[in-house]
Amino acid sequence: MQQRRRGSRLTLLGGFSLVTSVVASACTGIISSPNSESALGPDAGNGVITPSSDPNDLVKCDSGEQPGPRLLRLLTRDEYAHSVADILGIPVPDVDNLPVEPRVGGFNNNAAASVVTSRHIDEYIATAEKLVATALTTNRAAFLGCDSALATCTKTFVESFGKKAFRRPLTTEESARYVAMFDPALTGGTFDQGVTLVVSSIFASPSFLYRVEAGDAVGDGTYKLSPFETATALSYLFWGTTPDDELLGAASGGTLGTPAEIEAQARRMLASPKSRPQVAAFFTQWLNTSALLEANKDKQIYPAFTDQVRESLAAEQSAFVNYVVFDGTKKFDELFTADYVFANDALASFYGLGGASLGADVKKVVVATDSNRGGILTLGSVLASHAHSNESSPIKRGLFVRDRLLCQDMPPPPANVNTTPPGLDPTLTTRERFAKHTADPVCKSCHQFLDGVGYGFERFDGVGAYRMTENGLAIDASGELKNRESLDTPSSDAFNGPRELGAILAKSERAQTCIATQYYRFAHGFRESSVDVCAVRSLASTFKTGGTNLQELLVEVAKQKSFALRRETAAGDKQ
Amino acid sequence: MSRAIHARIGRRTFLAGAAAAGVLTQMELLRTARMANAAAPMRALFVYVPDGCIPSMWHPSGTETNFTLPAMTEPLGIVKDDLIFLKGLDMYAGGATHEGGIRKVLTGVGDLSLDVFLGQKIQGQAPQASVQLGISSNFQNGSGGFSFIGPDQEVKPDDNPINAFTRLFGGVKTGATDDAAELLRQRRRQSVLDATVADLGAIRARLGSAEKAKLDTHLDSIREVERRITATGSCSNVTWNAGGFAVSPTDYYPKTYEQEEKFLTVGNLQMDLAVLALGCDVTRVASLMWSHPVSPTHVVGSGVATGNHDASHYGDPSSQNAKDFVTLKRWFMERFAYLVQKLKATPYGGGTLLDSTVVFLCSELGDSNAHDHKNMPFVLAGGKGAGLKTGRFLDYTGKNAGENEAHTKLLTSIANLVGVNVDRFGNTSKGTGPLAGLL
Repeated sequence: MQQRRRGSRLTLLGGFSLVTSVVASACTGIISSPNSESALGPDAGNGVITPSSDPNDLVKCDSGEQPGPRLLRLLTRDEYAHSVADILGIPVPDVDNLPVEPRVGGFNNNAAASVVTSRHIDEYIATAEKLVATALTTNRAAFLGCDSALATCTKTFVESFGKKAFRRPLTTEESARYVAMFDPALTGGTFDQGVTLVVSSIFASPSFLYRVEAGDAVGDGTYKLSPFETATALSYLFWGTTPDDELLGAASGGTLGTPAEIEAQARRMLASPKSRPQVAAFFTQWLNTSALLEANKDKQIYPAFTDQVRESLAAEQSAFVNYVVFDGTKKFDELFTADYVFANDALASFYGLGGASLGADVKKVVVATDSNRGGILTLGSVLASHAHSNESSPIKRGLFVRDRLLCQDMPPPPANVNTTPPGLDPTLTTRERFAKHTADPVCKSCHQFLDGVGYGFERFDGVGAYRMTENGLAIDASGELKNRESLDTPSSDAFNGPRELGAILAKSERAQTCIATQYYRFAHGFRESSVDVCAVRSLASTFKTGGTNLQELLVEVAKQKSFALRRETAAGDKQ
Repeated sequence: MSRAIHARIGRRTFLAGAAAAGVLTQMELLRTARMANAAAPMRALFVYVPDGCIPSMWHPSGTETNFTLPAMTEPLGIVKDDLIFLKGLDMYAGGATHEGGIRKVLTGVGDLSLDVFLGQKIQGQAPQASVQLGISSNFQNGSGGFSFIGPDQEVKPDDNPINAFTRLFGGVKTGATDDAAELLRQRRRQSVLDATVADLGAIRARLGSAEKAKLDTHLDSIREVERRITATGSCSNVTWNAGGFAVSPTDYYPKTYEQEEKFLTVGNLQMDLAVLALGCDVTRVASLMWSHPVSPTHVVGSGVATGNHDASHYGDPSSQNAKDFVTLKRWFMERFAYLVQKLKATPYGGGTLLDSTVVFLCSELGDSNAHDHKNMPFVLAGGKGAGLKTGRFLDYTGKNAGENEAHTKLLTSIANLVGVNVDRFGNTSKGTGPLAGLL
């Protein structure tokens, strides 16, 4: 569980020579590519930076959506754990020993960033040995599927287990290879030892560890995902685990080839409650609230922020996003304008809601029309995740809105700028302490896009609780969202508090495009290159013209050309 | 295809019960005869501490051999003779601030980090090419780490010392440990790996040239694990974790080894483990990350209530924040002094392990206020066996045509010191070759 923290607290001490040259095209300093040359070069510290639009915005889509790249997608730890549990019929295991996944743009399933090191292989083999021991002890009959006394059982087991693990039938060679592991010279004559060797190999095999999205050559330079590859892609997208029997049956029965057939499976899976944790996972990673449960918060400043409150906030977020997607209007704007929260007794107290006892589980609670709660921007999980251990953070909240909700990349602070933050000052509010960001032209060039947004959240403290005053002083929660639709296009949206900001974002085409973009990245496991931009745009367009229905967004990504069709990946094509 | 199984067998005897419970406690060390080496091969150890420094409180003042240490580095005084303090080295090119700094400190903006690169080159008979350990290095880390096996492909450290120890020094061994059983274990392990290699080949055939680099890395990793079947290092028994630290599987947020109260305990365990791994020839290259950039860590026991990153924005050097930052940095330097002393107290190859190890202490920023990559807080230790002349303060300010010298030359030197004769490492925008004056 990781939280991306920005250390960007800027203020200015002493004089700077202001170099007013602006490098127009390069100021995209994408946070997810820290190795790229910073906008103005490594030593340009004193210039006024103007964050500008993404070069991808300039790509023309005359040829329409292109096929996606051919990829190997390493299972994340969660995917691994759920897959082995489903395959072996055992509880989901603790896989904390497996290496932490790198995150790109918040998502932990980026294919390009995830490589198998020797440590991975050690851990995969060690873990598999433990898992097979558990399966043989707790679920032997179902797991083996045949009587080990029978000579045919080795082949039966290998082929049935192998098919589940590789998510396709084994080839003849694969079957022979794994059956050969029952050789008494290796097993010492024990059937179970043979099973252990087979399972250790198969769960350490790249054919299990990677979701293969290679496709079969169509003949025109493109590749179509095989039915089993399609089943795999659908299953991990919607359920975060290995394909179920129905999907594997559709694959082997040849009913997983056409877009209509793919769509039918997608809708079936989405309709199952098993799809809800995946939806929750997308939102957690997108909104960067993974670290909520682990974030250090100063217990003296925030005594009310107990472990129970944390867990409840996490439960609220999951319940809320699932409600909007599955049970509410299913529309994008409800994410921001919801007139309800999900609360239990702990959150009722934390949020200051009155009313009847709610119990331990979160439930939907309608709030008053003038309530300060309702929607993503007022979720305690979001507010606490984008703050410090001992105070709120207009910059983190501003950056969250720009980066995650509007997909606008902000460059990092320039090199050589003194980034000393204003110290905690009991005579000032946070807004007053950070005033220099907007007073100084060097700071202002970026901070005008961040702080104005973040100040609007100031009635919510570092743990997401509501406050009327700070240090006994009145809080000014007026905010300004500048250049909302494009960093290159001047505009100004004034608002007071996150509910009003939410209403603005709900209608923003940029925000609507952004959620589609983010979902595309999560679904596909890559950041779009210039070749993929048209697929992303197409998804966003369908989403918007279809009334911003979130369920349809989830299904649409599976219906797209780039889901089932792939292109050859050139050597320099970085996904 | 049959494979010859080497006759030389490493023996590992462990307390079966303790190991089986997943909680390793105390093991007695009896160092066996070391593998014969005419000259003890050099090894490398990379140590990271977070968030830069206050340059005036870090860099020594004085002459090359007669210098004083200011507040931040003063705790290193007790191992001064084994160190080289480096001033005036800048990290050029690449990205800015925390994320840019951590990305480039060991790569010089290249694709591979020095620890991974050297590990691949000097592994020799060691079972592990390189070992990456951490102390809450992944916990709430949004900035990344410093080890890379490919372009933007990190090697994440193992923050769980128990897990790391199990991997490095073997697992459960129940029952007889006679040669036949060991041979069978090896044969079985080989068969498992053979199957994965065959499966990799099938995937490669399906993909053509797509994802070739990823498959190549995967295959290299399998080959490294293959070598481990028979390569075991040179220690038969090790002492580690005398305090009986255990990881509770029910600790969920944060995990036991990520709890701030355990920072020092885990740190000691990881340092001890790194020394053991190097001294027992389990690896020739190790790295240790204390937390990570933008460190949220409140160092329990330091007396400072502020988190490391918050303190690192020190403001005025006379402010309370600056004082806190100094206290925290001193805490980390006490740990580094411990590490150097531990290496020095470990006999190796007729001298000490410190003599055979080049240690590089680094951070991802220079001046923490400025978030710059200038005048980096870098220190070298050990390496006498390769001719490193310690006990000195070297100032490279302005030494590269009026600019500070490039840290990529230091990376090149470290490679040379461990026997890898490259004339460059990472970007060459400020020249090639090693750093002058180290030997």
